[in-house]
Amino acid sequence: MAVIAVPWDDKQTGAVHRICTATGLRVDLAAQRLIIANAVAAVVFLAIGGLFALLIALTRWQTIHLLPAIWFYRSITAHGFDMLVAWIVFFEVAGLYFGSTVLLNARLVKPRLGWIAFALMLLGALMVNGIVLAGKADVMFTAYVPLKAHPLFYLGLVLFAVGALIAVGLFFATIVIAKVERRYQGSLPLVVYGLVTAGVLATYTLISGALTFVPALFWSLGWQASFDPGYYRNLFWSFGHPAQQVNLAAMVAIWYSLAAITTGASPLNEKFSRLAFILYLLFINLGSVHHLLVDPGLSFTYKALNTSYAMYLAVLGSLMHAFSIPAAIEVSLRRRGYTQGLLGWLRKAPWREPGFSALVISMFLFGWMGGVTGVTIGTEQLNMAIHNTLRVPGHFHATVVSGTTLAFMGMTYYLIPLIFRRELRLKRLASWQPYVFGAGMSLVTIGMIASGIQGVSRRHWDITFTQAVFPASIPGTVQLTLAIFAIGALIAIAGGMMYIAVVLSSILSRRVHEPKAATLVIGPVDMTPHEHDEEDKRLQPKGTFVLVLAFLLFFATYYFANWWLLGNQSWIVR
Amino acid sequence: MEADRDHRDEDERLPPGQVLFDEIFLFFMLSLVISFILYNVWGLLDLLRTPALVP
Repeated sequence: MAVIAVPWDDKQTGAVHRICTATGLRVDLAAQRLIIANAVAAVVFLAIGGLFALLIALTRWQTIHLLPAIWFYRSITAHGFDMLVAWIVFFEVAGLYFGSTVLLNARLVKPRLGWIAFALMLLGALMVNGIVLAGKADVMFTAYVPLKAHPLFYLGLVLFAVGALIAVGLFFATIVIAKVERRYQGSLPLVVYGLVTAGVLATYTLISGALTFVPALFWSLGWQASFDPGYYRNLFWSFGHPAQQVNLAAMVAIWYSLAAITTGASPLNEKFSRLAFILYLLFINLGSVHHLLVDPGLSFTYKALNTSYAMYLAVLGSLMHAFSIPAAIEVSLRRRGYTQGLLGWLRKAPWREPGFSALVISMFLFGWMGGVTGVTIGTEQLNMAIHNTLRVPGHFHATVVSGTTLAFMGMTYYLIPLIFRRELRLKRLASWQPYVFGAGMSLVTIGMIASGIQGVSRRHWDITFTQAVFPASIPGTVQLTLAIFAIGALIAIAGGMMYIAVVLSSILSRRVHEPKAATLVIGPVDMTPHEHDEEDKRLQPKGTFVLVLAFLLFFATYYFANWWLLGNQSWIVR
Repeated sequence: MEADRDHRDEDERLPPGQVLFDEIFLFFMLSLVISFILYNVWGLLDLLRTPALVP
């Protein structure tokens, strides 16, 4: 079918849109081009970061220990930037443009600014990768002062942050103009509300990034005599950790989208879900202090209030989503007649639909592995035993990779027909991909956490500390747990390659395809929002309630097991 | 004119909680202020109060 390009109602804007044949949504063509550009850049950096992941995993596997020390640190630096910043932020910018235009029936204001933002981000990302590969910035992702990189490393980070900040500004401007032009009525849709949360958190993150890396650039150039490591760490972690909170908010918004697309689920209570996002907005950035729990100079009150009180309010937000989304799915599936027993709806769920399996695996791994370990790490006393061990990367590989990356991968499959207007190819591969990636990442996380519990350092190339003055008391069993981690990484990388194969074979197809349904493998799903009848006992989310209780039991067991471990080990501060 | 009135009427019917939740720029400001004060400013003041080590 030819492109249906329709001039916007208001001729002054000059915007042109098409009507999506599957959803009936209006797609601003200027926004569509920017979404495609940012999504493609995201996938390219995911592939580059994945290559470094392979090299790192084969080095961490003690039997192979592939890379020499210098290339290990170099690869860690590039991997950290490409995965935690480039892949994620490019994809989030695509998501922000999608949410503010397509979901609001609106046009993107000032698309030219969007291209300037894209160019700055791309230039910055290429500069960082280039200077790291040139061997001028072996400082790892955190680039802790007094480690000093080449000025182009910091300049690249600043350019990337400025570009992303322009994109976030464009997102908010588009929402304001959409309201002024009456493109939508009433409140913002819940998914857009989640993206607004991500946008607000991104603003703080990116301003902090500029405040961190501009002085670091001056210091690297010799214009500034010194940069206090304490100040640097404070500023860096108001960039480094909130960047992952942006992922969290965007990921939860995508969870709600995938639940709606694949099962027709609509939130049980919008106020409840929106309140959870507001808890993120107000409190989640304060959890960054958990990176500073062993830092000298910071008061106990500062550490405890931020990590053990404020952060728990944000955790409450996550627990609210963790109930709300599966409950909405359960009610939707029960409404379709899957009312048998507590979990009959779960057995009948569309497990072949890649968006559904990506959603469930992402939620499970994020919550059961990432969330539980995160709260444990954020407890000051427990942190003494966990800090700087491989348990910390074990936690964030469960959140950012198993959770966010898998959710973004699942969403990509739906953007291909809806935005790229190409048929999704290799559907069978796409159906299996979330399982392969999720299984691999489960092993990665378990292997890292088990190694960390035994004392393996998170950053050091030589975990045995061969030439150290003091002997490292690392037991031989870490050979096994590190092998589990590395084998898991190989499986996850295979899952990542499956994703890239599906995406490339689909988007490189020359034939334009107009989808008839939003789903990919299963038949069309009714996405009309339903009024929830709380009196109808057959539709009550009893199964989700049981799952939530099981989760809380696991949470409590893991948390208190760590206190038990703390009391049973010698006090070595690593 | 009529459309304007309908739009206003619809906004007026919204429950107060929803009106509050819709104030995204209020939460934007609160988020930035809370984060900068409780995380950055408080942390940097703690560091400033720490006496420097004199060799």
